Amino acid sequence: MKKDGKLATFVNPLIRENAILVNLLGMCPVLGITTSLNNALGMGVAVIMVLFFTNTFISLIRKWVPNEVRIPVFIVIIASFVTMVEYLMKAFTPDLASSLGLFIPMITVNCIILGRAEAFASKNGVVDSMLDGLGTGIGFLISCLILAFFRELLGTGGFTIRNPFNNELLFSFLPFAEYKMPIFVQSSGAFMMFGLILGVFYCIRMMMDEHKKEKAKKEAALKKEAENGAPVKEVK
Amino acid sequence: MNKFIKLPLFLGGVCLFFGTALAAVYNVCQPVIEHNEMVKRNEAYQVLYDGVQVDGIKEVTYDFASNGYTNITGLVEVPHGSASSYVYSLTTDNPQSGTVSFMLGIDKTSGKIDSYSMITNNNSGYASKYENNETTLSELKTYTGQNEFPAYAGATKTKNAMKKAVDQALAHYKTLGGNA
Repeated sequence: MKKDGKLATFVNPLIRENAILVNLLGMCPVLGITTSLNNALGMGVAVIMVLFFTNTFISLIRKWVPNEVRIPVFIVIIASFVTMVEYLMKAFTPDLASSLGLFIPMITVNCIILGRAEAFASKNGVVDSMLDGLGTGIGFLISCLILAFFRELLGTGGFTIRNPFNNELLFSFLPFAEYKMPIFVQSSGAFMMFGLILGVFYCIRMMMDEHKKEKAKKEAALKKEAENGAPVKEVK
Repeated sequence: MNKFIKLPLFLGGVCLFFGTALAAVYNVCQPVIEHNEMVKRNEAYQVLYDGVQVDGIKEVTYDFASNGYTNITGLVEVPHGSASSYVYSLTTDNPQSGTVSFMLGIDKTSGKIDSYSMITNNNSGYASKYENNETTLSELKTYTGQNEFPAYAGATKTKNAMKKAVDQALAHYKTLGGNA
């Protein structure tokens, strides 16, 4: 199904133009914090908030921002929203904030945020920018969750979910704890797992592209057949 | 308007706006962050003693550095059970590339060392020998400032740095009207 307009602005960054799995942007926090689903969720929500608000604000003021100072203005806006998110996380999810540590302030220099501000929000309307921010952020969250799912499962032998607001244990499922491979919660394991996921993701994309091409060929052949009024050889 | 005026003015305006917004968020979050930190600190004291009365923990304000207590970074009075202790936060001088931070409790009435917990050890040398809180405490319990400080082979510089910090705590305790 072809998606156009606002729906495409929101849906495309989720998978098709996913910042992590397709464009390979903002890898540093993704590899650093995806040791557990909790961290991935926390980081993902923080990035969604920052992307949504920076995109919205930059889009709002885009007509007044002088071209010469647009990058410093974007950086000030991004850094301010990141600092606000950091304060809020330290206040209301202190354990999650201490677990994510330096990766929260480092959202400021995440190229996804500045990239979307420069490439999209500074050139498009408010609603489109909001949708793009949300879509890109959710795409980031999805990538983090996929990576964290496999890293935590292999690295700890299961999953442990805690309430981010009071650090209470909500759910613990460790059926393979005896067979855990701690390398997957270390940085080297992050690269290995990310490589594997990228490989699978690209395979799926290639298969889908092939399928689309085949479908297009069949449709073209049928069209030709209808135009000529004569049967055409079946396209394999 | 001249670009040299317009551009900095615009950037300044953006900074001012976001500075104000940040101040507002800071004012909302700071009390909560401070409360969280206090809870965390109190949890640390609960590691030192059983039955800590969290509400009764009092911070003792004193200008340690100006009065020569350069190794003392903080002091609190911690009531636990029916007793009460002064807990000093201490940081050693730099013995062999790196400092050691630890908490040391002194019983308020007897003046005896009754708790010890290493917080951070940035020392690349022998400070790891003081990392076992139980062993170190059992040795420190008999230390009064006059007798031999717990020492480990090869850790002379670290021992001297630890001793200096502990001696400062014991000396300061005396100024509070203690018996040590």
